[in-house]
Amino acid sequence: MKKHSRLLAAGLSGLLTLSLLAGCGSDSKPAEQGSSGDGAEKTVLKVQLIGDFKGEDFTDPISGAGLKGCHVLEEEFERLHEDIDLQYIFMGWDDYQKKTQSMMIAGEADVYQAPGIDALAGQGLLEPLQPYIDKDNYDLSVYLDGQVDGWKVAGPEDSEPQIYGLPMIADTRFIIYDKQLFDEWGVEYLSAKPTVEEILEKAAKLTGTNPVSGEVNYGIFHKGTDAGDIVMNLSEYYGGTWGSGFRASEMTVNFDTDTMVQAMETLVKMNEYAPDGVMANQGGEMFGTAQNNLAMHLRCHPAILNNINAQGLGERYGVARLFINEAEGKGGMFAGSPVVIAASSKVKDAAWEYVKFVGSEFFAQYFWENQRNEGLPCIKSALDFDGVKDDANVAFMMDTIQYLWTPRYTYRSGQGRSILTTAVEEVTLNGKDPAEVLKAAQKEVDEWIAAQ
Amino acid sequence: MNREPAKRLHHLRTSPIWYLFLFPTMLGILLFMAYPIIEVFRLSLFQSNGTMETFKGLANYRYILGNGTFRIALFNTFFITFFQLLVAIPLGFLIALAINSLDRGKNFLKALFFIPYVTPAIAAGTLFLFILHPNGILNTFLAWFGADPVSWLENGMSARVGAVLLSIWRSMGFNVIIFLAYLQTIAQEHYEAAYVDGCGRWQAHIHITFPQMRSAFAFLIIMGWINGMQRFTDVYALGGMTGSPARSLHTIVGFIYERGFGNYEFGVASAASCILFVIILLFTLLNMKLTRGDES
Repeated sequence: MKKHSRLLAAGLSGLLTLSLLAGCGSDSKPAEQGSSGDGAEKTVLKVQLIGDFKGEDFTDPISGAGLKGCHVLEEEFERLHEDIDLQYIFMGWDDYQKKTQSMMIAGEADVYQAPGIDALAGQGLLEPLQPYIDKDNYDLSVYLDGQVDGWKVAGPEDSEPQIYGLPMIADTRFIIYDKQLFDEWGVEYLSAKPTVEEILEKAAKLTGTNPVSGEVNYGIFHKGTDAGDIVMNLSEYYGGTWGSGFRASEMTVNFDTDTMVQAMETLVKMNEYAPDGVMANQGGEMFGTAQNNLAMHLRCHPAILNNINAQGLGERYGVARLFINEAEGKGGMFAGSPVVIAASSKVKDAAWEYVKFVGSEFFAQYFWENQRNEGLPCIKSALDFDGVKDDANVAFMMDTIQYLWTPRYTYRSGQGRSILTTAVEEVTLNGKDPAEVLKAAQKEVDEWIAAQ
Repeated sequence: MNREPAKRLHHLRTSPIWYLFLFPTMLGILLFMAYPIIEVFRLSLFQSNGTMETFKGLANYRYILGNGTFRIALFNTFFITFFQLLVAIPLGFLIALAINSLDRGKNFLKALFFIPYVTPAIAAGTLFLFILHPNGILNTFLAWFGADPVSWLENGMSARVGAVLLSIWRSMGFNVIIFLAYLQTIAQEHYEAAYVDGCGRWQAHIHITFPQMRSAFAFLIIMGWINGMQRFTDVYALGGMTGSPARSLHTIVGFIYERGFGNYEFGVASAASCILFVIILLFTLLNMKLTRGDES
């Protein structure tokens, strides 16, 4: 009995230890090859996607429309490349950057959706794509203007930005306004490229008790957490730029400038026409609904139009561009996602085939019809898609995408973004002098850059 | 008769099988606790973005200790925790006293107060975004007393007060349960003897309940400080990564998160973690000292 107890105890301890070790162990199965079922070996290509992408068919929660999952992409890609087994890995937006970096270091996938491409390229984690483009003579003109340049970044050895990723999703922010409120107040709609003066003048007229509904209206709303981006965009409007440089350690940032001071003062004026709580993202909950009381939202994601259209309110809302730097002919934050190949991938040729597939009309059409809440398609042929060419707001947004500030704001990838956000809050909420606050912010960001 | 248990104890102490039982746990502790702690200390001496490292010695520590944002984070962490404990512990004690004196509904009330404690911090934070909304329930309540509406999350001090309210709401249930557990250890005979000697209910509490609750207070204060030093999720839900407005909700762990996972400055984040480790260690030593004092 005693002997049996000892054996049992030893067995249990061993089992626990093995379980622990198994949890820490890695999958010893080779990542490159799998079985197709008919005996032929296939190259396994693992692709990571971020956001609300789904593998199986699903239902749009607002419109109730049935939508296709990514299995459609998988089937088409495997039809085109019979020797490749495409496997998607889905991931949420929460902490996407650290998760992506961890996955790359661990070699979890071959291809990634990588909005934080600068930090990844800077660490040598990405494969340069120019050799593949040259080899296939791949035509980059299929993408909307500015999209390829927007994702150029510098690797550890590069002196100039290079192509480490090609466009997958186009994105930026827009001004969206409520035509019904403009009509009720007897104010002319916003122009396509509004000036700051126009915004302020119309916001003043649109703030107060609505003469038709009797409800309190506000001329302006914006997400307070994006206020740093609004100030930067306003600075561009006044002729400034964010700075220059492609790496955190080499960039120069223009916080302590006259245009930034002017931009801060303008934001303070704009906030006079916004509801209480605007800097804490509060007070704008009804925007995009039939009960809306906000005339203009200065910084909207394109997906809000999907929600508006799903409620049958497409005619009620109009779209205008962010502020632009007239001298440069561009302005506003370049955003979205590129698709990249991990330097650690062992199936780079297959990965490159997938990168090209992402630039195909099939992918863009699927994306637009089924996953449009993630952003906008980024190829020129998408301009002729149903729902793009026949929707004035969407067509306008697709056109705007081509005039964003490229290459991307490098300062947003590091501490500069937090420093600017805090500076904007000090001015707008604590009433501090913009010039002094920006001088301190400049000192802080310069010290941070020097420490990189 | 007494030799058998002693023999068994000796056998337990010497049998190697028990070391085998401990091995998986020890391995887990080594892999998931000891190694990460050592690695964090090592990283704190480097400039690291996760893939490239450069030795910097104590530069990260010098940077943090001279950094204005870290000092703000330190102040916010202490401020929110201090006022949380100042209100939540005495209030928890009073609620526990009230519940303990009830004949019926004790378990229902215990469960009711404990629900916020088991509510995930991020869900509680999201709930408080609505409570602290300019048109939210708190302003509606204050308006009954003639107070003007407050934009709670647009002012540094009111945002901190909001965070204190949230932390009080969440921690109250735990405090009540601990106090109730201690209250139930006090023998009823003590009170009966006191009443026989002419003590009133209040005097009985002063002379019997309070002295016997000393270790409960000590435990909750020290545990409260340790948990408070690690505050992150609830203030992150209210103020985001930068601790808006204007860093007034930025805490030490928020600083670590921002620099580590926001900017890939793992060296700076690790050094800040080590400093936090030292602060928590000091509070833990204080905890042990107080507990020993109580035992003696």
